[in-house]
Amino acid sequence: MKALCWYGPEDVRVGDVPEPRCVNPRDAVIRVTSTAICGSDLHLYNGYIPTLRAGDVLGHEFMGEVVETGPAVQNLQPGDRVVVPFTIACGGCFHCQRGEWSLCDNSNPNAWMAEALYGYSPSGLFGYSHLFGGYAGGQAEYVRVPFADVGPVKVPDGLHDEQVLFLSDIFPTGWMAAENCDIEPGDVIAVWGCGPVGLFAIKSAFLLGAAAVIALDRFPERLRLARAAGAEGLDYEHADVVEQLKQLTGGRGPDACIDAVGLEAHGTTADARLDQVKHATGLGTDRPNVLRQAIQACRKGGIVSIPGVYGGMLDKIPFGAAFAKGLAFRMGQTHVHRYMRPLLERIQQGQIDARFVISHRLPLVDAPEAYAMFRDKDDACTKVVLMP
Amino acid sequence: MTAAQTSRVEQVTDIVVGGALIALAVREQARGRFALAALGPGIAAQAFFPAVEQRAERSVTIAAPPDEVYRFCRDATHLGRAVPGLLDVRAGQDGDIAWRTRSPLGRAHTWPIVITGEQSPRLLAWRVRDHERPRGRFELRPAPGDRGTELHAVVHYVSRAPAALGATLRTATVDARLRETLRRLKTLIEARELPTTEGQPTGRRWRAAS
Repeated sequence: MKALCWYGPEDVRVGDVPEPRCVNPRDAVIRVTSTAICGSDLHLYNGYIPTLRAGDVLGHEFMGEVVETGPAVQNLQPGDRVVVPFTIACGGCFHCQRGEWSLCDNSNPNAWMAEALYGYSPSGLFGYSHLFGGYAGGQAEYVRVPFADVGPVKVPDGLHDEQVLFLSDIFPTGWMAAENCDIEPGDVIAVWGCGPVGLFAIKSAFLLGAAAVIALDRFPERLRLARAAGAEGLDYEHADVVEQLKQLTGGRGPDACIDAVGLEAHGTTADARLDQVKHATGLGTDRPNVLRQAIQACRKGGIVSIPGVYGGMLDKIPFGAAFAKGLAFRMGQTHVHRYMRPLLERIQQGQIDARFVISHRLPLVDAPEAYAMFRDKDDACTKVVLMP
Repeated sequence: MTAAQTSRVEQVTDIVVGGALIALAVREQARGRFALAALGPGIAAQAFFPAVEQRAERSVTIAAPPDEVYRFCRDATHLGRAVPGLLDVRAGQDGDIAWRTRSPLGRAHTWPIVITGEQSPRLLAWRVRDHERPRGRFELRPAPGDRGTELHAVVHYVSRAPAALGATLRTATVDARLRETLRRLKTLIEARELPTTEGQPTGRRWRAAS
């Protein structure tokens, strides 16, 4: 079958690989009908996430048709259309039972590796390095889905792939980022990064009752999409961000700040430049200047919500400011399973049309070019959907 | 850590293995001869020093009541799936349980395991027949807040001085195996299977899409 494989930084290729099969009783095999490139795939593409191996199949946003199920999977039948959460969860551990699906104790076969780095292992993830399980991803014609009896959600008739594909990651991720802000009437939310997760966070914040959303980015087309979603756009390259956010909020500061950028933040400030130098010379792992800004800009007693991915040791975080202002931090991989069904209902009710983020639709064989285009934001690229 | 007796067989094995490594090292063509030259005398020297008893201790919380965890652990075939490196588990003579392992050199070795203590659902103790070590114990306690069962495991084993590197490696190995065993037990009980990426697609051998 065809699959998009990683061979090194900025080297991904579509090759012929063996087809997957059910290995465990709770497995299913899915024929992928639509898959997407996530912003966090770019961290793999750019070589920021360790423990990838040459030949690993990427992709964690996908959906398709069930073609095979293991004997313990009773809720799915061959032919069912399903969306698959990017987090892999067993459903039986303490965290799964609390709805903290991305913290599943039992789905990472390489838990020892994550324990060595993080103390404890989070859940396994599709196509996201061996640190998170080494599972083959879904940018392929077929994919094996472990614990298929608790993960995939059936798609009701009448819904197009593109309407539901993003339930696999970015819609729940944007939603959880907004939900983590504990939005109350009158709240103003600032969102850094108007990529797909940031855009879904903006929409979600409004659906959860935010009075206003201020969106920060540097790309005109992304700011245009944010404004179309109802936010006020702010080009961070031409603004003193903290001062501007104070001005826009009557001096109070945003009630909550969402960092939808993560470890590869761009920026023109001195600390951002220093981060770039440190990363280029191997002295730093992440570029957290958006997180620094969010901490600085957030109002006293506010919340910093972090859906953007961080991987390693973050330098010069103004923790004194966070402490002095009594900030709360909410973060982590999305508990996708928790949100898929409620958000599917919102899609069915017409509260949101998830297709608004899509800029490109391409065949899977064009994935290498699509990665480069998405990374460089060429051709106003915001979201690429791939068809195997 | 207490001194323990080194058997004559272990002494002879150390001398033979250590001597073989030294002999390999002095052969000019031998690969890694400097490493062998360092390792060989260390292993041979072990024969002349007393063994030291050590213990590894780990715990895990399993989201299931103690009686369920106890029943699962008491079933040797279940436990066999949890212990890494175990070839198989069979019913042995006199109620023993025979664990078969493979040594790093590829030789199969059978361990007749005797249950030495059973208090359902609190305690399960075992040792290798006719040996004081290795021996081990599982203690089960209800976790606070109805969070299942805390399983506290202790394994006593022998490590021999003065090969500090060897002892450290052995300690790390036993500790890692115990930790992995508990992790797998938890997963088998909570998830009913072990996660794996065995046999999955990769493009390790690059072939362009046709």
